[in-house]
Parts: sequence; structure tokens; C-alpha cells
Amino acid sequence: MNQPVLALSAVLFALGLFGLTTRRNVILLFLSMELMLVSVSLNFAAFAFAHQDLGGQVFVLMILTVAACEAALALALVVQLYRMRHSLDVQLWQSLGDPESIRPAPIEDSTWPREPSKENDGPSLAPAGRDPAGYLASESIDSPAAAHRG
Amino acid sequence: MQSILTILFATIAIVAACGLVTFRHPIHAALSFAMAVFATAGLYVVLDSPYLAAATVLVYAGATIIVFLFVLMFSQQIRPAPFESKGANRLKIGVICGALVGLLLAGIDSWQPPARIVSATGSDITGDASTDPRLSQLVEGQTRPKSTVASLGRSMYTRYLWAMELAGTLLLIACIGALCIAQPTEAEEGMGENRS
Repeated sequence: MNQPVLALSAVLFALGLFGLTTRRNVILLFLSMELMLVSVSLNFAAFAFAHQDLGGQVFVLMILTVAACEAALALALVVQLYRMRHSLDVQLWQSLGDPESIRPAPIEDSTWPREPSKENDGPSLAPAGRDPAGYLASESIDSPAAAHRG
Repeated sequence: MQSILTILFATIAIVAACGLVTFRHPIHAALSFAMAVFATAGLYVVLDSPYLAAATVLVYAGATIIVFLFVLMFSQQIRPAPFESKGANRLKIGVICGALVGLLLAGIDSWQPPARIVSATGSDITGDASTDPRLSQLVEGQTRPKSTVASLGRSMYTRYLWAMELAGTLLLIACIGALCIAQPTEAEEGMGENRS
């Protein structure tokens, strides 16, 4: 009677992973992450039952604590994201990426990501200093660089 | 009876998790996550850990979901965020996740439960009692220790005391951090969109 539970937690974990990698709404991402945590703690409980050891149950309580911390911090971050960008789209939250790969798309743009241009389809280092090509300042409305200049 | 309950709760959990992944509206996804958590709590009861069931329902289906719904209503969007991550190849990711499930299921299939799993009557012991002293104790008529809230609490505050204290400290730090992060600065209050 343990193996169905283990199989269930494997399926839940995979579903959570799928949701985490394909969704774009931050809320859905965090829900998928919580689902993965639930599946792992289910695994712990199943093994605690199989081995008759309370360590597994204590570990589930740890996971609960960590999940609560994670939810608190994540939702605070979501509130900040919403305040800055007025959207819950994760792909608007890329300010720390390589500037050449950041093409801040408008919210309603459905063709993300744009087709890579021919001259810049390989990996490249981030240029040091402040935005040499004036790229961010010219193209994005609300990037940090633009905010600092203005 | 127990296996029927296990299958029932597992079915509910899988259906709810599929709903979580497929629903477009975050509120529906959050509610189906709560459903999955309730099914998981039922499984905890089947797995002889009732305290975990209560704690899971309180923390996940209670606190976390409420906070999620609160944040969702706080950030009402004019246009909902795009659903699919456009850069991601859904088919490829689905195949990878399916392969992961297959791999895990193969591993589970080859896993043998330890010989100490016995029914409550201790009648169907399959291991070799002569090699495992704990098993021989069971054979000698000791009933399986019942996992109660008291025994869980005793183990939590004796053997795992430091871990519990660390978890409590982590929770405190996370609370303070969340307060600091979510607090609007004066510039944000004034201008709304610009960073301070």
C-alpha cells in the first residue's frame, strides 16, 4: 500500500514540474512549486510509514515550514512585481539578464520571443558598464536603466 | 479498505493537480491546489500520521491559499498575463516530465518495502526474523508502535530539537523579510510606476 502513494507523488511532482516550466503567470508558477513540495512531503510520509520512523514526519513539518516561508517571500515579491510592471507576467522581470538578450516585450505581444537576429544568435558576454548601445534606454519604457537616466 | 481509500485519494489528487496545471484562471488553479492538498491530507491519515494531515490542511489549504487569493485580488489585472510561456516547447517538456515519471515508477517498482511492514496483527511478516533483531521483537508479540501526536512531539522536541528551532528562526526571518520587501517606498507611493 506504499507503492501507490510513491507513484502518486511521482506523478504530482512531474505535473508540478510541467506547470513550473510552461506557465507564465507568477501565481501559477508558485502554485506548481507548492505542488512539487507537497509531493515530496507525501514521499517522506510514505517512507516514515514504511520504516515506522518518526523522522520522516518531522521532516514533513520542516518542509511545511519552509513552504510557508517561501510562500510569504514569494507573494511579497509578487506584490512588488505587480507594483512595478502592473502585470503578473514573469517574462517582464528580466532586468538582471544579459542586456543583448533582453527584449522587453509589451504585455500584449504574442510573438515572444522574437526571432533571433542573424548577427546575435550565439552566446555573448554582458557588456560591462552602463548600457553601451543605449539599448535599454531607447527600447523599454520601464527598465531600471531608463528610470535612472530619466 | 485502506487500499480503496488510497486509490480514491490518489485519483482526487491527480485530477486536482491536472486542473492546477490546465486551468487558465489563477483562482481556479489555487482552488484545485487546495483540493489536491485535501486529498493529500486524506492520504496522510491513511499513512497513520494524522497530525501531518491537520497541519497540512491548516498551513496549505488554509494559510497559503488564503494569502494567494488575497494577493490575486490585490493585483487585479486589466489584462490577464499570458498563459503559456511562449519560449517553452510544451511537447518537449511534456515528454521530459513523462520520462521522469516513467523513471520514478520503474524505481518504485523495484523498491521492496522493508520487512518490518506488518499488518497491525503482526501476522504476515515476510522478512527473516532470525537476521533482524527488530523483526524478531515484532514476532515476539510486540505490537507496532502507534504514531501519535504525543510521540511525534516527543521526537520533535528531543531528537530534532535543533532542526525545529532552526525552522522557527527561518520562519521569523522570512516574515521580517516579507514585510521589508512588500513595504512600498515613498517614491512608489507617489509615482506608482517608477522605481525609487
